[in-house]
Amino acid sequence: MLFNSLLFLGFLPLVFTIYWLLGRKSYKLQNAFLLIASYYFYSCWDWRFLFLLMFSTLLDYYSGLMMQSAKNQSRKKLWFWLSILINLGFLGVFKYFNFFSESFVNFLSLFGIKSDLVTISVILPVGISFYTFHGLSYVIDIYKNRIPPERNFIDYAVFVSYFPLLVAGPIERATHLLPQIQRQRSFNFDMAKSGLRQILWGLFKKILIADNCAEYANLIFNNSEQMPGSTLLLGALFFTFQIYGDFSGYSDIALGVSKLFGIELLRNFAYPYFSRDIAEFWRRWHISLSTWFRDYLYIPLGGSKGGLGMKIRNTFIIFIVSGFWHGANWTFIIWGALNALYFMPLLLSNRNRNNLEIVAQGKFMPSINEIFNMGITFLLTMLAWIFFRAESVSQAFQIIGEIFSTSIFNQIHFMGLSRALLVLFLIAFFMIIEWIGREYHFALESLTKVNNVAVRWSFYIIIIFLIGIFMPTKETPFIYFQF
Amino acid sequence: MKSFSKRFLIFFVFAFFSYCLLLLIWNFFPSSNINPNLNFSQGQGYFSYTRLREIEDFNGADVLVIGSSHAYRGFDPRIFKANGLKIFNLGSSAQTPLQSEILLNRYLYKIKPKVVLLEVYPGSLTADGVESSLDLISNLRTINLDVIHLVYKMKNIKLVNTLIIRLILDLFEIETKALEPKIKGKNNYISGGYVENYSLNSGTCQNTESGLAFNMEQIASLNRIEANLQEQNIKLIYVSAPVTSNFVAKHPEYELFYNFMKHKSNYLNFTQLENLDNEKNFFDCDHLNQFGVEIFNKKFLNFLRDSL
Repeated sequence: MLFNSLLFLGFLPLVFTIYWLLGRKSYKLQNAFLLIASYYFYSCWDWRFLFLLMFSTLLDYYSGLMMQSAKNQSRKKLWFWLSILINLGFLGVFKYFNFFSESFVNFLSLFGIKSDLVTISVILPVGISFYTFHGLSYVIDIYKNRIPPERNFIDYAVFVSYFPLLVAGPIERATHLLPQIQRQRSFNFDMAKSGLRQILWGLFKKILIADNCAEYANLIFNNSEQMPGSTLLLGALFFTFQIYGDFSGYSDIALGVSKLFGIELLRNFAYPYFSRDIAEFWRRWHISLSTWFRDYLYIPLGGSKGGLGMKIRNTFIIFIVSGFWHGANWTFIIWGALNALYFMPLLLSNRNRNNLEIVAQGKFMPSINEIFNMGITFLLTMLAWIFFRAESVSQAFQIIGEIFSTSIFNQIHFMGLSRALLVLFLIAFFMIIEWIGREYHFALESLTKVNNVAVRWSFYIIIIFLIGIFMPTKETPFIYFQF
Repeated sequence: MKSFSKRFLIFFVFAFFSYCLLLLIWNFFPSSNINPNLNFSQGQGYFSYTRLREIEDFNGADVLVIGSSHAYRGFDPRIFKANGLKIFNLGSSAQTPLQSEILLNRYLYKIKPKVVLLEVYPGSLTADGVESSLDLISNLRTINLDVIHLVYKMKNIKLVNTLIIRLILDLFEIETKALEPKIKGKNNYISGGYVENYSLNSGTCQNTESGLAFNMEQIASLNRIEANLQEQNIKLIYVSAPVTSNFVAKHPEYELFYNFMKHKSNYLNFTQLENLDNEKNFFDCDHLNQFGVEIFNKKFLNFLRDSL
């Protein structure tokens, strides 16, 4: 069930109504209902993988209890590693087995050794990377004595399977989400209103920006060999907005839907394309994953406490692992490594925490210096996205090679160019609204400062109309579902 | 909660009416680039408007032809009349079984044919049917529940927007005053739903999209048509009109199509009719010109007489 599908349009109001009717009696009933609704939501993709989700939930729940009741450290450690290895084992089999198998065969062939390729034909269970990370953070937090284990299974299962975040995040922490699940929730008018606003903005990003950009990004990337550098650059630009609109749109819808149920989720995006350097970009892009890697990988590895060598090593590790988390392909690994390379000058010159505040805060326009920095950061990011989007490393290098050739001055041409120009106008409109709203949690929230209800409603209607008149006619799944 | 629901409902109603109003204004922009999800065009294309008005006053025929442009460009009522058969051609551009079903439900009782000729080709079973649905929404004299149900089933925003425009115009009885000429370029509308064209084919055929599969909605619709006609004791004949050999060569899905159609005992296949010349008897890759229609219709009438 997609957030942008008619089925979800029926599912959400029904779950919302029953949930608040149950809330009059007890939040425990609400939680049980949320769990049933979430399992139904998940089973709409493939009910068979529901058992995997349930098993993963049970495993982490039980491991948590066993770690707490363990009589000695070695017993605690045993349960900890059992949970970690089984969780990562599932992820490895479903997501990475074929990659490792193919890479191993290719590696052997470098030495002239021929080996039969062993691959398994499995579908990747949707959301496995997300709910596995939920479970991992929970188990690690218990092991490190940061939190006690949750005794109520339903509450814990809701934490893992809560439908707004189940398939593509944000990656929640037990310390943030569980307390909200375990308390009585009362309906909050302003929160629900803000939720609807955020859903609308998320739909705009996904349906209008991402799906329209996808049409041209796909067209250009799928025919990259026949395209000049100028067209390929435009393709990279379309993908840059596709990935942002798609994923941040999903996150906005997830956060907005959750607000309707009185639950605040972690913020996942904070206007990343207005970043002035790569470090700032990574504080603003997929925040729940970046902070997850920071807390559960970077800091345990020593973080930035050691010498320069350790800092460099740790930075490369988290960026490469983050790339690998996205998918079993060398393109993602190179994408991660490239971002680590971008990060190096800032790290070495100790300027990686320079831009912590919002760009041009309190002003309408940024300074020339800020515009220049934002432009450079945007271009670097766009270049890296080519690896993320390309089917193979060789295709990525072919595209980059063409962009940096004289064909960059060739006339842009492909089927549907005139409509593509319209999509560029929509992107410009989108970025203006994002710029105006950059001091808020999401851009459309800036409308709350407009007191005139007619102005606010007119703007919402314009957004709805733009979606209705310019949305592509085919439903497109969210990119991050495949991760 | 109550206040929220009330406010949301008010917004919803306000948004709906505002959306309709904006659509009405936007409808004045004819460019498909800035108007990709709205296509209300009465009296455009190849005579659907005229044909759908003619049938309203047409009473009784021996044969009702239905299907895509291959139908309204392939069966000439004058040739049938000369052979003692009265026909009406209810084909429309890119028509698929989903639209044929609607047209049959609406006009079968009026025409009361002995035989329905349902023209089929691979595209009619693989297409989503959006293009033809837009044509019907724009050009039918009135919109009924069948059309609304079709739009609901197809879940396509372009159809929804176009239907909204049509319903608003009907509601306020706004006449679009579409006067469709009987001659458009080299195409002449002939009474009985037929379109005549004497041009000679000089173009090349485009490759089809690869990996096309049957649209199961179309197959289901085909089955409903069969059942409906059987119930009314009307003979159904599936027919494939001739196309150029180049067209078949560029459309590998013909194999899949033939495999499906071979199970139909009432299927007449004229796709590759002998004696037809790719240049002289067609005006483009897959449409007969008048010279080709005369050859095809004579041959077809021999088969039809045998099966009647």
